[in-house]
Amino acid sequence: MHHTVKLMLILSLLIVLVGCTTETTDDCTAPDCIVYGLTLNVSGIDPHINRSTELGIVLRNVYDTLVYRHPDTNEFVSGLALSWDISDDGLTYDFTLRQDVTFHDGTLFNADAVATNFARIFNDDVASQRSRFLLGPIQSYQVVDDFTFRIQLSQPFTPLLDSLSQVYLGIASPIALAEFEDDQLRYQFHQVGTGPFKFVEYLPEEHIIIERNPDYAWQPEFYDTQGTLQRIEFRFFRDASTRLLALENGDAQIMGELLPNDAQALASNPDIDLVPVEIPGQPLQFYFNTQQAPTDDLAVRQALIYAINRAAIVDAVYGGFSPVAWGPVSQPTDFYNRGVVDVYAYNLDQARSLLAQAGYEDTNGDAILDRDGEPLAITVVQPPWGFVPEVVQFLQDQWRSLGIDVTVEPVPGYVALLEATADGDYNLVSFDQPGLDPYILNLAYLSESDDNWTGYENSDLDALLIQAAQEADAEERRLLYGRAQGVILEQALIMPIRDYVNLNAASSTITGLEFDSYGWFPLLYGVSVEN
Amino acid sequence: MWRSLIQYLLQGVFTIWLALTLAFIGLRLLSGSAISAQLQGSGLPPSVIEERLNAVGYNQPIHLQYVTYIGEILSGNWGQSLYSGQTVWEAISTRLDDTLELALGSLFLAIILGLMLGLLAALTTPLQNLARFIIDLSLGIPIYVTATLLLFIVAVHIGGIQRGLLLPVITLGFHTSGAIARVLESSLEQTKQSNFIRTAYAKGLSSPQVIQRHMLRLAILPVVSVIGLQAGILFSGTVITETIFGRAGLGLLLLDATLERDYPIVQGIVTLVAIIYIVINRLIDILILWLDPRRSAL
Repeated sequence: MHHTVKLMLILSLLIVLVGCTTETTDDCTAPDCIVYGLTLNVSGIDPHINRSTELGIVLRNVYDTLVYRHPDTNEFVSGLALSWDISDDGLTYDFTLRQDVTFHDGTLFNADAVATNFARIFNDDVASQRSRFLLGPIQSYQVVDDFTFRIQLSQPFTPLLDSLSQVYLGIASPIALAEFEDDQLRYQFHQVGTGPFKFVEYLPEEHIIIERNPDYAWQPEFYDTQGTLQRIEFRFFRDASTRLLALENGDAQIMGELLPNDAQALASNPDIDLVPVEIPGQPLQFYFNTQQAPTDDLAVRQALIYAINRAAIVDAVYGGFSPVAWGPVSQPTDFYNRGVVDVYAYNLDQARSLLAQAGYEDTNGDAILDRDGEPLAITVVQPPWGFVPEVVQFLQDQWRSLGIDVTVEPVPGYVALLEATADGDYNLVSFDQPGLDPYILNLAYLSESDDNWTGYENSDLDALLIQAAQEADAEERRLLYGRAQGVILEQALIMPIRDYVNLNAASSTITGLEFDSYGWFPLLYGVSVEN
Repeated sequence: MWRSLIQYLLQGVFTIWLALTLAFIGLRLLSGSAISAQLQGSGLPPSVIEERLNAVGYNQPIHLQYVTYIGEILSGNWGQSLYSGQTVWEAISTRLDDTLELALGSLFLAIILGLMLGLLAALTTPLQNLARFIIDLSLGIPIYVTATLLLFIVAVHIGGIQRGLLLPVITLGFHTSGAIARVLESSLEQTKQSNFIRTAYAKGLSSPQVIQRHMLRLAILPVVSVIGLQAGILFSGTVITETIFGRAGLGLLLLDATLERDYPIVQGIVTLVAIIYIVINRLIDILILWLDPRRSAL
């Protein structure tokens, strides 16, 4: 065979091979269907199993919960439960359920369905990452009659209603759950709820598709029923710098977590609206490791906070979109304590004198402070999300100018963050959780908690946090959590940076886009697209 | 003939074993575990976490885990993702299309571009220096720089094509072409000096005739083997390209599975890629036999 012919043969074979691979067609077009941009890879989207925020963005619209929080007032309003009775001792909750609800697969919703969901959450094989924790000290649950469901607690647990309003305790079809009893992880590909949208398809890293539930008639009072959107395709835009481009090109119609610079540029763009949403919960913050020198010294921790100019950081890194964070929870969180404002406000002199009082001085002229021959050196574990790397740049500069030696340990993700901190060999690590009820503080600060990153142990703080979770009276809880926030700050257990604000943006053809009380989760039932 | 075939096979099996053993050890050197990471801060009692680790076998001594793992690979049951519950093969097969598309498309572009550039760089024409410069760019610039540049320049001005195949293929194809061009160039240079080329000129053949009939036929052989070697590099290229262009292919899956310590998925992909790599290179060896003008005379 002639040589050139042979080469041509090989090349044409390649062309055929390329042609053989299937091309998926995108059939998502307005006004019936929109693309909603998610920002993180989700490693699992089963609300009973996984705990990511991203999963809630999608599934808040697929599941209903027993109760809801009204986005305007944060009041508890009825969901799948029409009403509820709490016994005087705070231990027994009776929920009267709606009788007109069916799951997307046609199954009737009743108390048995709720019980099946609870059984799943408490199944050890399911290994729930969040929902089981949310249910607190539950002792038992029972089906009182077809439409009455009872939760029995072993001790009072006031955050229970807030927990029950979260998507992680969304109620799934018992028939659908039964189908995957032996392979619980697989249920996430076939989810069935009662919500305004039905789950259609999940292809990891590719997309999640949901479509309108035409039978939906049991919405909570605040849902806007005027929406006409039929179908939503969630796609992943992991590279933050491409998100605005995707909106501008029409590759997506709604997108979360824009870059602050891009968000600023939107002011002059009539085709795209910026929709910033404040997020309750812990602010973007760094935990101090109180078990590791030199941050085992309160004065050093305080000095490190005094030495940073948070207003400048928020301006430079977050384009001024996020408020400066002062305390352990952000402003929209329940029982936020206003007293935290300006505590440890930028004050270099104060930082210097604290370090001097703690015995640090530069004895050998190397521009690094030292004490007993030990240089003042700290290690910061730096995750990649939330612009933490950019923030750390500023921290480094500001601390170095004070004579503090800073080592940054960047980690590529959550698992690596756990690895880097497992041996306790770090001084600061950035981590935080969203949440409306300050019960999230119990997870982070109780001495015994396995999520206690500070290593701090204080029985007074423990008592405050435990009592605050048990206390039924809202004003009492406000006082208790207010004091807890004070203690956390007095002890300088954290260095708060900014309150989270999700910089969403939407095409101006989108109307009716609202977010729920938790901030991260859109209520898509009310959304329409104008042509 | 049979003996060398068996030798080929054994070598291939050894290489695959080496790849999956290294993947196994490499992952275990990282201290994290997907299970404990998933359950940290879940408020679950430690006994539950312990039990989960037992269930997936990660509490066993490492040599036992290794035996189980090799057994699974041999039996064709490559395990399940610790996150999605998909079998490894399911997870891979849903992404394979995207990656094949990208890899084959890039390879096609790389061959065309590589041959052109290599030829131009080897011949004394006004374009010689330009071709050499482009080859240097292809070999010298990191892939992620080209990818990001392309994404911005093209996307800003044209728009709407980030998710298509074009940009990733151009990126990866361009960077794969450099090696092909460089090998062709040097192999042409060498052939140029050969006696039989001098003879061909002496016979009075024109330059294009000599290049086409004599030089290329011999010089192409090292190029074919380098194309085989590029298959491996191509895959590592898809990891970066897919990440930047947000294509849900095998490369992105591998990256995420590694970050999340999803052992079965990482091991499965490494094994698969090793097998593909070996098969391609064995095929290339046979191809060379077929293409070699000196052998076809036999």
